[in-house]
Amino acid sequence: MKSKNRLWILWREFLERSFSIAIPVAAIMAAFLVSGFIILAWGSSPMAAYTALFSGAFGSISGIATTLQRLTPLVFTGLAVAYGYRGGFFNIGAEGQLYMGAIAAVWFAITFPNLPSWLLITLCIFASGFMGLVWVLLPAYLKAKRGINEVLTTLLMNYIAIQYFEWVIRVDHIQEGILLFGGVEPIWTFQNWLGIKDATQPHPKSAFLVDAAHLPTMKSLLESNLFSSLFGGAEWYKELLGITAFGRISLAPLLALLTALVIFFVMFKTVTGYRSRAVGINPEAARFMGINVPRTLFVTALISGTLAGLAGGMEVLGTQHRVIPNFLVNAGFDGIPVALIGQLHPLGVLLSATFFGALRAGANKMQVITSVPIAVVYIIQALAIVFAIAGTTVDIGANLKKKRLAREVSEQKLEPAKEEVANA
Amino acid sequence: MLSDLASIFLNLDFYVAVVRMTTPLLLAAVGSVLAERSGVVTFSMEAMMLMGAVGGIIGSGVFGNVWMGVLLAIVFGMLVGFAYSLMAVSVGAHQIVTSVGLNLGAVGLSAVLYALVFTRGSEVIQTVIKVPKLPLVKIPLLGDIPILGPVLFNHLPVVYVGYVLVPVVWFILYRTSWGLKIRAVGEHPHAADTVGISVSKVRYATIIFAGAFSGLAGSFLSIGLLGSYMENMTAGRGFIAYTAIVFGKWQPVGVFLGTLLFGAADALQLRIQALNLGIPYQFLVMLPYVVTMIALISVVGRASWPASYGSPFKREEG
Amino acid sequence: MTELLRLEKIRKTFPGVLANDDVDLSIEQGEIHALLGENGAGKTTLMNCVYGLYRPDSGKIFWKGKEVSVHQARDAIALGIGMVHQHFMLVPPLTVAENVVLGLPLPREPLLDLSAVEKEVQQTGERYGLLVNPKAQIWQLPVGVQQRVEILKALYRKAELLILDEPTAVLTPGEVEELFKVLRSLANQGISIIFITHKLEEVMALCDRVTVLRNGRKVATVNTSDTNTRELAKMMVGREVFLDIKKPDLMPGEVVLRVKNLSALDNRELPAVKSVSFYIRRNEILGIAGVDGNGQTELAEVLFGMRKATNGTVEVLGYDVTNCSPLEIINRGVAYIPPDRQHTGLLLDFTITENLIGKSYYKLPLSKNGIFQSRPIAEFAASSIKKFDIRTPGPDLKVKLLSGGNQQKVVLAREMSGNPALVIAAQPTRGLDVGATEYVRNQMVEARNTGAAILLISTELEEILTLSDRIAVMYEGEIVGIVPAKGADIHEISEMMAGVLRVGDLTAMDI
Repeated sequence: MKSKNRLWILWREFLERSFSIAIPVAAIMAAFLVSGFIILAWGSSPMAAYTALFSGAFGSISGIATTLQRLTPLVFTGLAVAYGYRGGFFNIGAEGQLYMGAIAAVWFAITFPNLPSWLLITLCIFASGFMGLVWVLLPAYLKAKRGINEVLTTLLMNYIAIQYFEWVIRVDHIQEGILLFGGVEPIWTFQNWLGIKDATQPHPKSAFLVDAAHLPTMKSLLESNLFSSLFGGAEWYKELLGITAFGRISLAPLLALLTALVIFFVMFKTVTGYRSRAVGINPEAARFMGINVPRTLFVTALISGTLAGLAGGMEVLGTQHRVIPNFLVNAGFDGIPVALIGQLHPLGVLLSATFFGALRAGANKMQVITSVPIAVVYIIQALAIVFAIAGTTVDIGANLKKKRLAREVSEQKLEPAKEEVANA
Repeated sequence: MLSDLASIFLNLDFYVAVVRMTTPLLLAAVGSVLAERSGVVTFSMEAMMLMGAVGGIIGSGVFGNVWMGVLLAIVFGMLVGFAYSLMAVSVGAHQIVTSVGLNLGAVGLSAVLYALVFTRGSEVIQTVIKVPKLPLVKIPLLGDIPILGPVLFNHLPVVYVGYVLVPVVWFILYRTSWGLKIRAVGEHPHAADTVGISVSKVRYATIIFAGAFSGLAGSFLSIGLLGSYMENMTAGRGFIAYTAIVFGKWQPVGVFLGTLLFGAADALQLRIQALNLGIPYQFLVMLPYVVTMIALISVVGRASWPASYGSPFKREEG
Repeated sequence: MTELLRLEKIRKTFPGVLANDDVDLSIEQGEIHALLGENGAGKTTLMNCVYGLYRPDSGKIFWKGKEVSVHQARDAIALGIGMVHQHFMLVPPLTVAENVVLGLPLPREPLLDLSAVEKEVQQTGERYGLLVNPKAQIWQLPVGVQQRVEILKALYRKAELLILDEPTAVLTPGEVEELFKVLRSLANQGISIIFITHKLEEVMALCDRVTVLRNGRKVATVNTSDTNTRELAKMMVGREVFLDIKKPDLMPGEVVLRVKNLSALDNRELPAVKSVSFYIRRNEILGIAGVDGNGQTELAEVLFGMRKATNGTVEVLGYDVTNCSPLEIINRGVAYIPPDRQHTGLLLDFTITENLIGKSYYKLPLSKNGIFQSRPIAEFAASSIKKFDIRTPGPDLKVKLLSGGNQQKVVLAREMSGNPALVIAAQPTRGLDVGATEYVRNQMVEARNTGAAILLISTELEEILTLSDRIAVMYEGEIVGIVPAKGADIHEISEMMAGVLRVGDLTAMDI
């Protein structure tokens, strides 16, 4: 009898674990399936379209490079949403935090262009994360201390950030301002200090970052003294050097991977992550365990905001090297489905960000080869989200019912039914 | 600079533009108030509007009749509402996540539908298709009043729907038994359930109502102002409408004032930009959001949303 | 007198629990019938079956002599049954009249013209002494008036039978008087009332007949004129099987917890703990007896820093910890076993290991500089699982998959892990089967034997009598008596629990 019980528990455990992988996978497959009908209606072959999509994303080095480029910000915003959500802070303000992070990185790089490269890059990354943190401070405080709905406040902060961004890329950056300490008469206005616009351009664009602020790329790695002296003669080395797309890949995807691992570690292997998750699961029980719930919520929110800020910084330092209007449309909002399809797990976020990134990277090729419009990939993504969230809800719904039954039981302090006694 | 500003405010065109900018926001936001008050987060307005925009173009283009466009826009909006209800009410899925999904899906679906109907096969996807657009309708008598007439009563017919919508929604909410049920469901779904009100039916009905008016709002952008379609042409107006609901603290009149504030800021911003006055107009656009934030933080704002806001209803023991 | 409602052999089970065991009940027209029993005796479950919220597994319901089936609340309302729940089913921002008509066709459908309704509410109110302003919004009204609205709501729906679930629990004494007047006037006009309660004096003061439930079974139905509180208390508490707990006599040591004149408010800001004083020493279990809802839970929460003390002091091992944070109190060596392990005791979505380390995760050796140390944690979990005999296939299982008994063992293991000086155990065996109950009780005794002071809060008198060295009885927020457990008279204690006897602290000592 006991061993049977044990087997049942193990079976339940197995089901639960496999469900968390099976649901998103099934959702993505179902999304492809349903979108297949739309492609059929378009008059193209779904198989051909998906093949083109896949080969566009993974079939060539340039495709992979684009995929990596597209998934990087999504990893950061996905992690931001996932960590916040796990800790009871639903951060839909990643979009705004990302914009502020990007501004900070650009501003820092064009204000201190003469710093050594490694230091400049490090400080830019810190600046972007810090600005993300700053941008979540107010919602975090309001949630932790006053219990004001973070969804509404972070949403509003998005638009404030975006408008601030719109202003700041239209305002010339006059570097004399920084020479204040060198004794030069500064033109001391906020505009000079805050603006990041490229003064030589009529259009609202930020100035290009100095090369020193660019994240190292494969190209710079290969051309480095170390590599050229080591492998300078090798055939593969010359071949790789010849592939521009390969050289384009920057350090940013690697940093995204590392960040995901770090967040995984923080979430599951540190006191901070333990407290965050406890508060996210059940703040009341966490309070009974002696956890300071408001402080934990606050910390969770700051971590989430920092991650979202980094998304902007990485995009600027690794890929675009400047900001323009709409330089990263919706990457903040897309962090929400990335996190949820990734089952709020840092490694799941990596996979779902890859899914999102690959779809966007491969869409062009799909359109060129099969004339299926790019917009179809948005439908695939949307369906995947809807199916995944429905699947998870139904699963959780079943759990809730069980929990309620269990609570009803615990409210009765009656003598147990006879068979239960026999088992005891 | 002051005289430039004065010239903006002294020109009637500015006020006409305010009405024009406010209308789509008003239709979507005020139309969604009922759903919001029944406890549902209508963050999916963006999807409803976008589908409405493309529905308007398709209806108008295919049938050659702009009114068919309006009808199809409403139907498309209602369909999105139905899909959202399925997820948010029947499945009980997380409403904001579902909305983000629907909004993304609408970006894709609207573009694909548009291409399917108009540009399919032709390599030039960029071609702008022109379809019949809504006529200006001057209201007799009222339209002849000096100043007020041209500002308020010489518009597209959809604008007048907006005028009527605010009192209608207010009346439904506070002066009919439907409104009583809606408010009861939003504040205490369990109590409503025990007296025999179907929480799901109320929420389905109000969300689909929101879909109809958000769809109409979308059509105002496509077949109303432009007579043509652009990808993702709502450009986040659904989210602005949502913010207006928060600003208005879920009261029809307050929400109307919210849309007016956003509409006015938008109209002013465009003019300042056009005149190249060097005023940082971005802060003007930002202002309504800041005001909303302050409204949210102020103590009064704390309990203004419905008590069951955003949480799906499940009956105890079925 | 004609019979209005008859229940025959109603049986309702929840997984593992028999909530109603073939209960019969008969309600006559115009009578006030008390349903008396301890918390969890099955009173509310039985009434939820009548009202259609639960469906009984077997048994029959007769209404006016005809068998009926009630599937949902709507059916019950249509028959003429109204129920006032402990948590009111009123919509706070709506007015009284709006709440009363909610769900019914309006006089001028679909227009919300409530003048006729308001008039009727006014008239009904005058008729039964239920005076309410029909235009007032619910949230503006005091709880007692809200309750009147609930009754009005039922009457407006032409209820002939009114079920009130613990209606006095939320009322002040003055409001209770008012309610009783209303109920008597209702009964005089032919409306039957079922009055669910665990308060004996209310039964005697108000009701015509009383049916006593114990452990889901009906004990008896008697006329109140033929009985007295003493007899009712006996029926309610009963005699139960004593489990075999061996408890050596020990000399109590130094005082661990000293509480002086402690007062606190409940969630409704009404006094819940009223100037309570007591102490507990090492090697001693102080049992707090009392019917549920007499301030025990609030007392435990104040001691643990979860609720603010409005007056008085709490000292642990000589340190004043009044209104300190839970963490500070934990660090003084206090452990707390909360009454609801599913909701507040455990994190159901955490693994067994994660729950087990809940009180020591931030300390060496389990973590260093904020980073978890896997090996010490695994060892800690394994030894806890072994020591507390937690039956599980592995330490990384989610706690929600465990049985209730094993879940409680996880709570015990977590709380006992730091060898606490004081253990506050609130309802530690609620909902557990016999085996697990015995295990938990033995653990409490074990902790006492090894030097802990234990505050045991239980509504089960049998548990208190078995485990305690001294017994304190709480009634309406006060401690009405503290007696040595040895030689304690069960009837004396049940009378104290019912508020009819007061003895003061018979164990007081000068230290």
